[in-house]
Amino acid sequence: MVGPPDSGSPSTTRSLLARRAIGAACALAEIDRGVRGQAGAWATRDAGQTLDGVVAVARPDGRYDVDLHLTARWPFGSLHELAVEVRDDVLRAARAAGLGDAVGQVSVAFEAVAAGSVTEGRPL
Amino acid sequence: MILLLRALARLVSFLLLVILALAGLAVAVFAIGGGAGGFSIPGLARLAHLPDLRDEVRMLLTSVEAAGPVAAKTAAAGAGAIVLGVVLIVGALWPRRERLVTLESGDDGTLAARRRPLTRAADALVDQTRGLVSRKVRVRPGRRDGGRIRVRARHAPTDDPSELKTSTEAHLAPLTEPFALRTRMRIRAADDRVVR
Repeated sequence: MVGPPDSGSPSTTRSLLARRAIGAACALAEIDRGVRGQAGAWATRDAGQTLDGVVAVARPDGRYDVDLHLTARWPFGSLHELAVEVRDDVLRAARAAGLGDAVGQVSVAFEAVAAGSVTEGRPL
Repeated sequence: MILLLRALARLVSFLLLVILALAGLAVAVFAIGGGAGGFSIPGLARLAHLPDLRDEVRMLLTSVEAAGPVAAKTAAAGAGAIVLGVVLIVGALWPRRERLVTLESGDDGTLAARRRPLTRAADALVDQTRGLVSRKVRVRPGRRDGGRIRVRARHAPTDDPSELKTSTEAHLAPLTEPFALRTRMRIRAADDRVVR
């Protein structure tokens, strides 16, 4: 879950977009949390916080591609529908924050699955 | 087989790197000393019996030049070294199996999942098939795209295994179609009759 930002630390468009994206994804009941990956490759710093499971990468056209690495929470229905729902919610959240023009591609990867307090999958 | 070749390539490359590092360390240490005494590069060469080795190689090359058993053994050793080299190259360069199964990739981005979430979903879908007594579901990502769902199940002797197979495949369709997964089923009855 994404906590409130530290108001004393700086945010950028990239990190704000990452925050909105992982926040929107984790708001879904079927999403447990973001996965930071080995060596913390899938994490973004924003406002003094580390946001696990999201990376926003700048594109030449000034927009940012957002990659989400998530743990799905069992039970879930169709993974396809869930992935599309995550992407739609991320785009909606970005638009609501006035960052709609900053979003490029949104990629979603389900890295593991959590059932209750147990997470199945490679330790990441 | 590929796993074995990859492990062999890693082991050999690790050992070669260790040997190279130790040799480099020895040369660096002996390079501190000068002249041709014991603590010098020529001294290290004598310590490693390099002059003796040079003489042996010279004798071997002379034997190889003439036709005979030594030449045949050397040719066989050379061929073996080539085969070993090819094996190591295959082990090092053979593409790894993609662990992420891509669902959709386009201008909007990529939607993908790893084995565990897919296995969970596949297991839940197989569970909808009535008549299966037990089951084991595995998802194996393909080397380039897609992958395979392997289902091993047992059913009561009174049920028709062909119908169960068709029903299971139909239940798995929401997963197999978007993820380009192929299904491989093995249904075994109580009398161990197998339907593939």
